[in-house]
Amino acid sequence: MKRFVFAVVFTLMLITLAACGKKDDVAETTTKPAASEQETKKADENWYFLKGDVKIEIGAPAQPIIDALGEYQSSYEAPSCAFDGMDVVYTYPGFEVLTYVVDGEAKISGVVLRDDTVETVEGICIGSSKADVETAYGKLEEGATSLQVTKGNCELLVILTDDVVSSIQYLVAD
Amino acid sequence: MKIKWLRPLLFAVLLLLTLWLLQRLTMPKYIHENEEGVLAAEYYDNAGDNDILFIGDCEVYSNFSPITLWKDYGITSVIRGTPQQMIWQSYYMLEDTLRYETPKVVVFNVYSMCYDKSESEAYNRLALDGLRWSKVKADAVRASMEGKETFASYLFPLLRFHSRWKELEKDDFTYLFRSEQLSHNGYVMRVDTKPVTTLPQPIPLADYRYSDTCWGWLDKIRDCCKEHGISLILIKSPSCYPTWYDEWDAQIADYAAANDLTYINFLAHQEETGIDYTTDTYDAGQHLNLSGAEKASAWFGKILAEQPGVLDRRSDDQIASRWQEKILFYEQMKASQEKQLEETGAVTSYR
Amino acid sequence: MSFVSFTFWGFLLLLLLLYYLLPKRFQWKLLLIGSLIFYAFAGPKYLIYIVITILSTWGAGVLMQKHYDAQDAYLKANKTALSRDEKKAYKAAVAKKARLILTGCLLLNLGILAVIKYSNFFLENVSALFHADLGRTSFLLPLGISFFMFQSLGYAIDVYRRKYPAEKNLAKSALFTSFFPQVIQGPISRYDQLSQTLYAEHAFEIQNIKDGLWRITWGYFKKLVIADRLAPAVTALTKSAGEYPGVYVVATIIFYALQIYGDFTGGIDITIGVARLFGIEVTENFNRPFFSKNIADYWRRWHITMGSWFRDYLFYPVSLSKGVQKLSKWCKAHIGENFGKKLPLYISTIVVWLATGLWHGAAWHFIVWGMVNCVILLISQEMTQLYQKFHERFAFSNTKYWEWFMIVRTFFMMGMIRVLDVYQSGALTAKMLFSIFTTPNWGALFDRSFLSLGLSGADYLVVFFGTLVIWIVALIKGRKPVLSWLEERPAGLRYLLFGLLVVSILLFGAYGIGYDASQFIYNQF
Repeated sequence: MKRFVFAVVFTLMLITLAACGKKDDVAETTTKPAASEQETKKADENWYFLKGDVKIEIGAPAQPIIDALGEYQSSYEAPSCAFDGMDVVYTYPGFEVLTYVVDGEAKISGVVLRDDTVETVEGICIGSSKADVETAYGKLEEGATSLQVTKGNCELLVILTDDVVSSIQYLVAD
Repeated sequence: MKIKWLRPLLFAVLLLLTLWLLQRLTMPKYIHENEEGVLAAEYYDNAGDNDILFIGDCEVYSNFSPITLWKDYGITSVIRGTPQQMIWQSYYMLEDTLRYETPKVVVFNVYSMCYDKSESEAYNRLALDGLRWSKVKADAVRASMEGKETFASYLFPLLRFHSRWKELEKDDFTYLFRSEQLSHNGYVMRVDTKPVTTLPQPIPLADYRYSDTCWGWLDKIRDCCKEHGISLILIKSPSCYPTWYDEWDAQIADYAAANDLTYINFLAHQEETGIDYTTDTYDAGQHLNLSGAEKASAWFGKILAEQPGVLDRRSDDQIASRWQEKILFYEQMKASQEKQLEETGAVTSYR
Repeated sequence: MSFVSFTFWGFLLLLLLLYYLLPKRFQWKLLLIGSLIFYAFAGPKYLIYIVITILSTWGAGVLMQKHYDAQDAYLKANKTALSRDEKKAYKAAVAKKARLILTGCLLLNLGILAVIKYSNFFLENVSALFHADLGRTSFLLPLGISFFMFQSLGYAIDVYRRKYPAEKNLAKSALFTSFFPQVIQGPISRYDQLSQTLYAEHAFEIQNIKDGLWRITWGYFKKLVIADRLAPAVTALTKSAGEYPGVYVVATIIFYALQIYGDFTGGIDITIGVARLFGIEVTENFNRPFFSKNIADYWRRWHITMGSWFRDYLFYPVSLSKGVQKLSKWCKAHIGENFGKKLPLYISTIVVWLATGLWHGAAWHFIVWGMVNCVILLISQEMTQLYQKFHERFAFSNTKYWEWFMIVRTFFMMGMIRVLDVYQSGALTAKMLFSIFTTPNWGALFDRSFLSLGLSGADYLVVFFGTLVIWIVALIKGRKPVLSWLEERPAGLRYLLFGLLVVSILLFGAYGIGYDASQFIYNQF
């Protein structure tokens, strides 16, 4: 008998739940994490660099990206002092990809653009004008020769020399 | 009354003893893994009569050999360097050294001027856990803590390492009450070679200026040396990666000039030192191997020997016999590593 | 200032020293200062909320009392002069004034709670309903607001009901609301109980210290060894729930049950223990909840003070309210005697569970959670007679085995409802629970899948043995209070057990670097 009651109750329970399902979906996306006191913050999209159709994003697992990018011109390995882990700089035509090891897995830690054969998703490359940079990423501070803009866990650093872009770097944001 | 307090007292003593033992057990031993963790503590075995003190990061403990300085010049020296040692940690190492001896010369490798906050908790541990407790250590801990680190966890490392019960190994029991020597007065030996083939292009920085924090610590090192009548020599150690920027070099050179200090950028003296980055480094230019460290030391020894108060101590029998032991250990390690290299093609263990 | 911090221990030690060193008449005042400092640690700006609650409930109490005192004096003075009707009319007038004051106090407090805790929920749902964007507010919830506010409102309602006279001393009233061990996660104490020891002068008694330390240590054991160790697994299992169907859902049910048990009951153990150090008795909030034989039983054993708060201050008032009584009468006449009789029970049960759900948080899944509890309770209520017949007919249903079956069944049933907390959606919870039957995936138990949830084999062992210890202690507690049981053991054994407890917390606790210092889950309600 109790089993029967249990079954009935369980079914009722599920029906009740199903009936509320749709509204829950609304609540789920908007109030998560409900238990947290903090403002809900939707994960920001990161700045990323696109080489062909390979998306290179800070913090992403490195191996699939390195595999997808094909042969590199050269690489430089720098083991960390004392601890396991290796920082690697992979050099490709026009840019470099930096990786480091987090929790045993190599992750992307930086992308450095070296010449005007490559450009950012926003269309900025080495040699772009200050005006183009400001259109793409916002105003530079008065007298500043570089612009740092952070999105998600990526800091995009654009350095200008004589008002012309001389370096573009995707770095891990602090 | 006596009986009433006896039991709780006995209990407290036993509990503390147990916790102390567990603390010893769970703390990393750094014998076969992250060996550099023993460096900070090893100093105390070598303290006493050193004329030269090196402070800095891996660029000092890998690139200079006190044994060469002794053999070639009779100079007594010790290195207090740990991986990624921050400038404030170097300052406190200096302060800590002064509790045991007053060197004639302090050599500070300036690479760490580019870090104004601790890079990682793990490196803090390597630099600090081995220090003996004193106000200096307390200050060093406070200056170094980052993120979620707590002072209490330095005071009672069990609070930090308690989870290691899961990964206890034979070493943790074998080395419960002792350690095994790794360094030669702070120098960490490697005999293998990995030549520099290419170096990554330097990555431009948005701002090359050192932070006020770091200048402040450098001032403290300078003042401390001055106060104790110690000559301070600033060096940029002969490591060619990570990049040493010209802009950084210029700032240090200006500082040295303004403060009447000697500054030696080893990268600019490659010819004189004779360091050959195709044979003298074990990791493509970041650290020197034994032959590189000996070359750097042999060349640097000439400069150090001329510093006021620095003497050739080879005629002091007591000191000489101590150093003879050190040389023995040095040669043993060298032989052991060379054997490994010959047999397996790699150095897998320091000792 | 979290209970799991050195700051808290420093604070506690200092306060204890002062407490027993200062003249006893300063003791409760010191506790008030300590409590306000403790609360201010969460952010001084939050003090404003607790101060409003303190002032409003104290003020309402004093005002109501003034009217009641005047009434008593008037009635006494005119005992013979007034007719019965006149007395009744006079009392009604006073009651009306008191009701007005109480209503004002309730509206103010619940209004604040509604705005800071529920406005986003409201805005989001209205936005969704009308496909508009009404934006969001950005109030940060003051720590423990649902606890201290409900406790103080309970006091105000009791004064209104003349259960006891109002506390005239503002500082004492403030201490009742803000008493630091319980301000953040309860229990929701009653004024008449807590005030007996809260303001009293306490001499230093070693027994209080011993008992307090035992209780605190036990609380840390549950929190650090069990709850916080399981936390990463529960997070992993529910964050990407889709990847973890079937047997993982069963694991989620068990792990979350253990986690919330360790977290909440552990937190309350610390609260009670800390209060005990000061010689103060804080009411119990749990009575071996996982030994409940049915859901109604569970709710008499879990978070007892919340349940009894809703019973006393919502269930009875609603079921006895004029409107509900009228409706019941009408139904008796027009629909059926039985239905009419039960209607007040139904209505107030639904109201209570709706409120209980909302109390836990402003989200639909909490409402669903409340309603599921409600439906099960009402159905069980309806089936009472059936159960009785069942027990009469089948002898085995009166055996110990059956009892254990009921306990296990209730554990899983409550577990299935409880996971709504972590799946945070009714639909997802239903889907996941169904997956136990559709894609059980038992194989996961035997490959190494469970080791990828953030817990190693060693962690599972710790959880297993930790749970075993908790279970044994619960069995002891079923016979007699654990502290009394301990007192009867030889001193050597007592010391050994205490030592083992301390060592296992320090060694096996999930704290420090590598573990996120886990906030107590109920702090957030």
